[in-house]
Amino acid sequence: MGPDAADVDALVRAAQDGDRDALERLLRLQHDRIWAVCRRILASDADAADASQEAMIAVVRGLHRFDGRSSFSTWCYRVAVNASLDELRRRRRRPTLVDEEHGIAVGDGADVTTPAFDGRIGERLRLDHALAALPEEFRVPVVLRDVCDLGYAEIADVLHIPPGTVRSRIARGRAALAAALRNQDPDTDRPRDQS
Amino acid sequence: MSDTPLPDPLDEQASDLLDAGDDAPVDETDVGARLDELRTLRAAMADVPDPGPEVRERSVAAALAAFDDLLLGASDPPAETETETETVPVTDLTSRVSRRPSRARRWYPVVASAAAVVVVLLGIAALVGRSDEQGTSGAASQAGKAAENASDLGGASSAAGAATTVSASQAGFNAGPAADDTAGGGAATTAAAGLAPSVPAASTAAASAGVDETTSTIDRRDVTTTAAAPSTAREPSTTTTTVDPTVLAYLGEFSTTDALAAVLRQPPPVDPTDEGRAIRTQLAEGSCDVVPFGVPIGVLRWNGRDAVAVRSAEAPVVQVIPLDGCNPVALLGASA
Repeated sequence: MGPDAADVDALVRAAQDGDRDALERLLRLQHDRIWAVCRRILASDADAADASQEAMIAVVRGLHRFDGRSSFSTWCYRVAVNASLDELRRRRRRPTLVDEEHGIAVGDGADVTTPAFDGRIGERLRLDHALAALPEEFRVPVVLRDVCDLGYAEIADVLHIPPGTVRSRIARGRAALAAALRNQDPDTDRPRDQS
Repeated sequence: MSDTPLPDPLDEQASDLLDAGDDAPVDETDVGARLDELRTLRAAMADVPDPGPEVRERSVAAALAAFDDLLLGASDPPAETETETETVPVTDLTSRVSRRPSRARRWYPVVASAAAVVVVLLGIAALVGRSDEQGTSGAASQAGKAAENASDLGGASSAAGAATTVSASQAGFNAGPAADDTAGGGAATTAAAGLAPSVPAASTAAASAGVDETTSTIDRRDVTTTAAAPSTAREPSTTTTTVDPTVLAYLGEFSTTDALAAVLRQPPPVDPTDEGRAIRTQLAEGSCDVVPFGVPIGVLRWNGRDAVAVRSAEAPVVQVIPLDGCNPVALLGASA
């Protein structure tokens, strides 16, 4: 356990005892990690802002229930995943504006396959697009693995699924993402998959 | 999940190699290419856009506000409760309730109609009783008077044309034991159960007709009629008749009183379980409350309408009551 982890544990204990300053420091330490999970799962800045705020509030309200069996960061990731999934459900219930002339939903984003979006911005847009199209059951394990760097066992603990399933879903999710990005790449000369 | 293809072994191998963290070059060209692709993907995934200070500060402030709320709630819960109470909308339902007609008010027209029918029947009974005392006319003339009075039964006669009278000499019908029981009581009044408000009016009329008390109850299947003895007998001798509509005889289809009278002279002609099931079911389910008219003695079809023959408790007559309208459409005279 490194010094950072020890610091986090001390902050957690102090916050649980009602130390507001310790809680604020703890929240600032965790915020960007929570944001990263929410941003990748939701693939939207606005939705991620809402979800990360909800997750931070949930962390405060559930702090007294944290018993230290997992690391505080892993516990925060679990809270962030739940907040993101809640936000996804809210998003599905949200009415969608439709451009009747073109038959597309307004807010779906630009056509990321156009050459106008190149470089880093283009890559991010294409990744967001591919992530949004990936089913949740694959998206979340990939995010927890590649963004949060959690091991299979920790992901299994967060998602309440067996580690073998975690491994399988990560492999399939990565493959699907890679294929989607391959198809979206305007410079690629590979034939596009129709599936 | 169903639209996601099954895992390619090469993809799984590349994914496992990526998670193993082994940076050693892979010999196999296909796996190596996919591993490179996944490494690029992982780098892109980790490159999460910065939330910006505004989003970060807003989230931290919201979380701290939640923390403050928790502390405030723990130290001063009544204040929170008081605030909640103030925000709960309160709707006064009194006005809604007053706009809705009360149960008694909604039943008033029904009760009043039933009371009117009872009063009319009492009038018939009084007239018939007076005729009996005078002994100046035979059974045919009694039935004729009853028919005259029946013409006032809420337009019943107009619904089926003129009420027809059959003299006792023409129709000395067999109304069954139930009819015999009530016929022996002389003049009597009948009031339906659940029509309690009509009782005072009925009692008044009964008193004028020389009858002390009469009660009648129905609970869909059982018709119970309790007839009191005339006021001359101080000890009221009550007779109780229970009629189950589901076992009433099906008398047949009729369009004239002569044909019906001929059937009524005989014992119940048809096994009640074979015919008229629908009519009996309607009667049992209360499609028409026939108790105010007397004691049902059989079900029939009258000019295409489901009906029930009812022996009047007030007079030696049989009325035909269609179940869809509940107003008598035919009247048969009878002798006791």
